[in-house]
Amino acid sequence: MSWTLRITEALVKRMRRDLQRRHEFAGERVGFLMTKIGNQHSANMKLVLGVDYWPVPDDSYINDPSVGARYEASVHRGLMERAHAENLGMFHVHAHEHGGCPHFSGIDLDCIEKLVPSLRTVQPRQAHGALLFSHDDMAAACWLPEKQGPAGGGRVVVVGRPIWSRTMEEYDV
Amino acid sequence: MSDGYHSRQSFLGEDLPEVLNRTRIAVVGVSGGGSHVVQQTAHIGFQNQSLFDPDIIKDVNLHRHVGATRADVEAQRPKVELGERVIRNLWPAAEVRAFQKRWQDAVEELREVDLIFACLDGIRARLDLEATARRYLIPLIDIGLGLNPVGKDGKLMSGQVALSMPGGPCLRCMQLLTEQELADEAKHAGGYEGFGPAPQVVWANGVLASTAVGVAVDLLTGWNTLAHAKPSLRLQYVGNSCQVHPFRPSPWPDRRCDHYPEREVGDP
Amino acid sequence: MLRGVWDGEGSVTATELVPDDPVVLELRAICPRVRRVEEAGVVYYELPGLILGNGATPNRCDALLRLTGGDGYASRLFLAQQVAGPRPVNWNGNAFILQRKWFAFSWNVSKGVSPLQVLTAHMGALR
Repeated sequence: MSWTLRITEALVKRMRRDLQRRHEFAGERVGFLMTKIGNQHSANMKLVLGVDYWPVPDDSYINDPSVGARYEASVHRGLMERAHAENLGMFHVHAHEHGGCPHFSGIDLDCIEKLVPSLRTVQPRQAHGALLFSHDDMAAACWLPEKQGPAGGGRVVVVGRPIWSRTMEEYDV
Repeated sequence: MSDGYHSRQSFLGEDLPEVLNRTRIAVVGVSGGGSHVVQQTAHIGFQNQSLFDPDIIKDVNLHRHVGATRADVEAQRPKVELGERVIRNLWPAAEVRAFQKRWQDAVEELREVDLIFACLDGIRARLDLEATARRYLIPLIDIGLGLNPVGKDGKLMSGQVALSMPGGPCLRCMQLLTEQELADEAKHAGGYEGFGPAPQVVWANGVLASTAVGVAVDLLTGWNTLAHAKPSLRLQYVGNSCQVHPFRPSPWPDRRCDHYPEREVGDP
Repeated sequence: MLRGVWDGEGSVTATELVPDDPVVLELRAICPRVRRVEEAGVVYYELPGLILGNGATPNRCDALLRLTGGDGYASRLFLAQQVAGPRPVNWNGNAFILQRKWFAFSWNVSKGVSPLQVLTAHMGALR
């Protein structure tokens, strides 16, 4: 089954602005895009809609120079509570410092692969996954409800002037 | 599609074929304005179209429905079927979904499109369509035409093309779809006092539809990079003087919409 | 109504009891499952399975009550289907709200009355 992640340009700008802020010690910032599936009953294509963005708070990062960003377990707990209480999907968001099409690293996918099952336990009806920005592009991986592994055949659409759209590569985890 | 097909519209960008291939557009209302939109978008190369209109073509439509014939009237063909024919005559393998029903009765189909052309009569219908477009983060281009009395014998023909972008000003922010118009619609049950059913003429519909298609192509391709020459969100047509101009200098581009909060997205 | 309080880290730190919308409290007398909803900047009160009374066929129907103006009427009662009453009404308010089809008839209700009175006045057209 294919999927389309639709996000407004305003929300994308908000995410980019947040991720660009310097942190006292963390090498990179992380946030979470909250989403909802807009066509639960469709058998052809799942429409995933960007609803809001929640940045990891400054004081939730852990000082660990061996990784780009590490944060407290309470962040995931909060994430799962919100996903359950507000019927939301969650997409881990971060940025790589380069131009051109970004690609999830092995570490990125490993982290997301550990996060998604927890989210699915508390919120099985929504899609979960990850979004990755470069300076001028983005990539996404999406786990659809009831499907094993990240779904192929996906597309991200940024609704702005002009509309930006990219077909996503398939990921194996 | 042969390489030469796009040679005269190559200024729209080297990824034009990909844009045309992946973009799914909806034309809601395939009659006066909508028939022009279907025709033009088909010629440009949009092959993935969803068409919504419950009506069949009638004799009274022939003066303005491009592509319709007397044989179609005799055969009582659905308007969406005429639209599909126009597309397939250019692109036999096009992916066309033709719904001979009101869009409200096929709303699940509408949610999956990338852009909506709203070519409807009626204020309430357009308000409801925009609310759906906003829920599912779909840009909507609204086309409307009216004829209003001026003084004792005068008539003013005017219309608009308005682009409603999720997150941006809506049709009510742009002073279209006002409460007064809704009240008038309920009172008059869709007709215009003194003019019979809502007036429609092919040349005015053509101007509006062409303008709407131009707005859509810019939105989808980003070909127009001249910042000072970007189309206004609301373009006004004055039929009497045959002019299209920005409604007025406005703060709309920078103004957030008060009617559609950002989080009011997805199923209710 | 219980509401979770989220801290800056995304955790629920407390639950608080907040007063329900007073209109909801008032309309519960007629429809226990009433809830406040909003779309396109307009507030509605959703009334699932509203009992319309013996004069109406069917006598039970989902409804939406709008207590503000917007289409020439100071208030409006939308029903999930066109209901038959003891006298004909003018169904002039087809709408698509919250992704459902609704029908409204022409009925003017005076301003300055309580929400419950507004609702019963609209329902009076079907009794």
